[in-house]
Amino acid sequence: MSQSLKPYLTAVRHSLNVALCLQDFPSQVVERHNYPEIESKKTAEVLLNPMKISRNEKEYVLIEPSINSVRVSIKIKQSDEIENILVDKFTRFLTKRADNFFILRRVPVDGYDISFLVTNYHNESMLKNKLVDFVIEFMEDVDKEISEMKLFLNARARYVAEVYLNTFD
Amino acid sequence: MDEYDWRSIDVDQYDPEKQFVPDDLGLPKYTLEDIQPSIQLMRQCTASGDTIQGIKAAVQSPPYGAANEVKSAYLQAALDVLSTSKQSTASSVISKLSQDEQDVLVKLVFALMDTKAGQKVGGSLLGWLNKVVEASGEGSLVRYLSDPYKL
Repeated sequence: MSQSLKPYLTAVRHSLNVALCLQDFPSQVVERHNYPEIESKKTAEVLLNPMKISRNEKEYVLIEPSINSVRVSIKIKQSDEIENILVDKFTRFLTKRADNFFILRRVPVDGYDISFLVTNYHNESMLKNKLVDFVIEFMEDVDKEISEMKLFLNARARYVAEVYLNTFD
Repeated sequence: MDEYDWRSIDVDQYDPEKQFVPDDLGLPKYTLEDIQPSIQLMRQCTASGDTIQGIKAAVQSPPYGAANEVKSAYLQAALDVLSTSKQSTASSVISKLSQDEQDVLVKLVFALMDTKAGQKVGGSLLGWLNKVVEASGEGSLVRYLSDPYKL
């Protein structure tokens, strides 16, 4: 792990640990409904202060806690156009299968690449420290994955160009 | 009229009985002149490399709930103090701060990480945040979450 990644992930881990203290909270606006309060935002008194944790201008995490749900939005590092495309494809692949990931949000929050929505029900059925570990591991792996894909893409492009141009030899 | 869909208007939000009234925090209206002395002090400490005094000046009386330009002037000065100090001395500096001062430091760091200038030196801000957690646990983060005094 690189030198500057570790403090970033540590800070996110502590913040998630703090934010993931959730309890059941039926809606105060609509009877017999139970919304994730961070999504409906109709009850201002149960929303907590959001935490934005930035590693640099291109990589940051926004954690928005509330009484019964936490929204974690991640901006993945993108240093050039190819990475923009790769991140877009990668996150779209995941969000299309959001059902299988339980805590993944189908649409990322504006300005972020991917969002997770953890509610008190997830917290009841899954272990809190495992949830935190999952988010941290995801952040760790996604960078590796993207840079690996970029390498493969470049190698393939080089090979294709070589084969194509050889026909004119 | 057609361009406005009246069905989607949430009329309940205007219900006088359902209004959320935030607590009156009794904060004064900060102006640029009010915060000038503490900014001056922070600049002096930055120039002389006196991190402890600089941070003490920064966490003494932050302009909570002030206008944006007042806040950004204050945050810029605080950022200079935090980013010019050495990470190796951070632990000893934090051990000299009281619990309340550490809480305000956490608030400052989170407010700074939300700004473009703060993101540029994200590494050192993260260092400060982690050192506070190391020194006194996650309590200051918990207190940050529900703190009505925001920067």
